[in-house]
Amino acid sequence: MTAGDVVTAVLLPTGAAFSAVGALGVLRFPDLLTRLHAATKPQTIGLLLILAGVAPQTGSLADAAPLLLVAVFQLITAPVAAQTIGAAAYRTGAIDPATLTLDESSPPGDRA
Amino acid sequence: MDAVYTVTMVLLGAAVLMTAMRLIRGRTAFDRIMAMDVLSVLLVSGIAVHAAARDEPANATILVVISLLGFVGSVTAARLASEHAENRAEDRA
Amino acid sequence: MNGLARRAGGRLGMGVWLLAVWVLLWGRIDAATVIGGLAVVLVAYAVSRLPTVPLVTRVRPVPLAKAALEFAWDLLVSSVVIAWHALRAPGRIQGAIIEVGARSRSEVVLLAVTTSVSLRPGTLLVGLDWERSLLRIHGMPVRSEEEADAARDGVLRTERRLMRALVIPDDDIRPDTGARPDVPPAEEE
Repeated sequence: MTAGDVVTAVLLPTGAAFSAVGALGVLRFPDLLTRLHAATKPQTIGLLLILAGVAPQTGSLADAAPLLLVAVFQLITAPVAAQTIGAAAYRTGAIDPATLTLDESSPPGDRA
Repeated sequence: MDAVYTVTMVLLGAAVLMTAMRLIRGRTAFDRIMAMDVLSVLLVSGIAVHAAARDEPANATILVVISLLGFVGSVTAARLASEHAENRAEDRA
Repeated sequence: MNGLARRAGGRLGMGVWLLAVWVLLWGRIDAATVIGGLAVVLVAYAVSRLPTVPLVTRVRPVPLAKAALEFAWDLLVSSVVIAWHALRAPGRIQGAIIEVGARSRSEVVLLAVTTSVSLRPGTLLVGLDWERSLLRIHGMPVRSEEEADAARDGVLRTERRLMRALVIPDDDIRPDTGARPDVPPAEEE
């Protein structure tokens, strides 16, 4: 095993574990917004770790560099997608107020 | 190294199964859109691991295209779903 | 700095980013790739009105590196926190909608803030009022007013950190710095 293999052996299962636990949260959390938390953060770190784990196996810098591009796109798009879904659900009243301990925003009737 | 790839793939497979269950259960359209978004991320991870396991160079173009399609799809679907819900609310009023 | 120079600077930034994406997709740097990429970027500008990169007057490298490191750490911590809740008692998790008045009016700082808000532990953006720099976030787990305030302070701390890293024109900073504005929320979008 080379040093690169050790990096791969550590990062791949760790990343996949984050993805799996995130998916567990997506399945088990009680309402849409909490599920959205689970769909964003663990999935992002899971993909980043997996890409970092794959990189040493590609052999050359030229083959590994595009993986960086995938990582950057994920970092940009994941929060935007979560915000779009969260904001759309919130605006249309798909959020059950019973799942919130506190709601500082305007009452549902005033939501634009 | 084979064990590493097997463990990784099993964990990713479990993640896909759990996300698919959320996709089926849904409750709201937004849950399903979110589940699809997660599935596209898991697909990118899976392809990257698969390429590494078979000693092939990961085709980054495919990975970028899938992640961008997943992103554009989620955002579009979320907008459509919210318009749909707003129209329904107006019909009721 | 006048408006024209600002716009030109913004376009240049966007062009450089597009070129970087192009080169990374090809996976090699040689004359043909770079020249081809330049041609594609120019054509893309000619046929479309691509957005300009929002304005930053100056970037402070050390605070930026610090902000990036803390962002990475936050991302890791938030994943662990969510993992913990997903494994233990997912049914009892509770959240809250919290409003945070941002100090900055700069688009680039607010974008950086919203990105980190959604990837930080326990917060997720559900609404943004550009006019009044008002962020509407969902915090989790939040069971009391105190925890809501803690989440709000976390967001404001992130903003201060990013404002130290990215220098913006003075007219983009709100003079009134309050944790929560007293004006009623206006319509979004």
